Amino acid sequence: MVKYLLSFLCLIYLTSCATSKVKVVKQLPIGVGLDTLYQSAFIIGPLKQAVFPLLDAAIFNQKLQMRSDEIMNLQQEDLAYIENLLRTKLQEIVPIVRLRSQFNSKNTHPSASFQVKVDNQHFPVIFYAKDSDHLINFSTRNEISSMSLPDSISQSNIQNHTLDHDIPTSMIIYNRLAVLNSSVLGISGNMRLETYIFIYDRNGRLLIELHGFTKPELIKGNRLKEIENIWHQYDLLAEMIKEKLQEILIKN
Amino acid sequence: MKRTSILCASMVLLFKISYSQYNLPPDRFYESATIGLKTFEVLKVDSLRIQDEYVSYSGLCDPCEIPIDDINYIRIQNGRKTKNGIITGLVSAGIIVVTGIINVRRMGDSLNDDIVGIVMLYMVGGTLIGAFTGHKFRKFATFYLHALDG
Repeated sequence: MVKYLLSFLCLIYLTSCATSKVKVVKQLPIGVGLDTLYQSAFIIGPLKQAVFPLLDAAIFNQKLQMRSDEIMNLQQEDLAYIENLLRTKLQEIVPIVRLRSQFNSKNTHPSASFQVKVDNQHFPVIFYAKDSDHLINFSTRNEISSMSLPDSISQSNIQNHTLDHDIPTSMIIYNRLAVLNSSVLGISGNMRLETYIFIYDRNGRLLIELHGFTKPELIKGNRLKEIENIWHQYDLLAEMIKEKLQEILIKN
Repeated sequence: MKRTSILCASMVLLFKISYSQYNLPPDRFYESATIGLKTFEVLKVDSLRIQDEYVSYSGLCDPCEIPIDDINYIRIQNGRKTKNGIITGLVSAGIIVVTGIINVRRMGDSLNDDIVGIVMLYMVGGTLIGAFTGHKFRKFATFYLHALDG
């Protein structure tokens, strides 16, 4: 009996941990070494809202939309902090060079952070951290919410970027909050923090793709504090990403 | 006369260019709005007026003005969700009516003669309830004044 109970508890423990994870979607080709990473863009994208179940999700989304400016304010305020946090963590395993933006230098505030408009009524901009280049083009609303981010990053954009800076690789980091589902009548919903890392070679070919997710948290959606708590799990996510990237780099 | 009209046209053009360099809300006046400053301070203001280089609002401060360059975003009320409410109400009433008819048929009963009236009543009722509920919800839009085009 005790054995069964222990096994059950172990199963619960393991499944609860399994929800925080870093997935390697594209593995670094064998024989390709990376001794330095060149960070081209660090981005915070719009919150991804749940679609199903239709009515329940709509009610839950409404609560988040009412607070969209506060959520975006929180993200923008933390932009420099989380960028520095992840970069510092990754620098423990590989040197990272942050590139002075070519795109930004044409503007009045060289190398400052900036926002780019996207087709999203409630979360209308994406935030680029300081020293980022404007490399992502979201042409449709679906692209913003879908998981196919590489489609929004064109090969020619990356090629031009690597040529301009004369760098062998280019790393793009995209972060967002995502609602996975909502309960009956939108009383609560599961939200998590997501980080996507894409590392391209000089020719714009994808070398590494990592997806990092925190454990989904059940929130009511009407208090900013709940969303803040999820957002502040970035530290944990950065640590997990570092470990996974280290595994990939050691293998090669 | 000709010189005056050219001057006026140039002034209008200049005004339009200076106004469009920011990603501003469509109107120049809003009864209430939220202003997010670049320092991440958030102000809820009344009687917001958007000028070329600054915004003004009513309040105890004198003058209540903020340069546009110091503002991160402006959030304004952008209508109400009446249309969404009407659609939801109509669809819900439609589902109720269809489910009701299917159940009556399944039980082998014949439909009442005044079925059309009942259906109409449900549809109108659903639409009204939906419109009323939707009207209760306000729509907001946020404009990041310095956002670049994607």
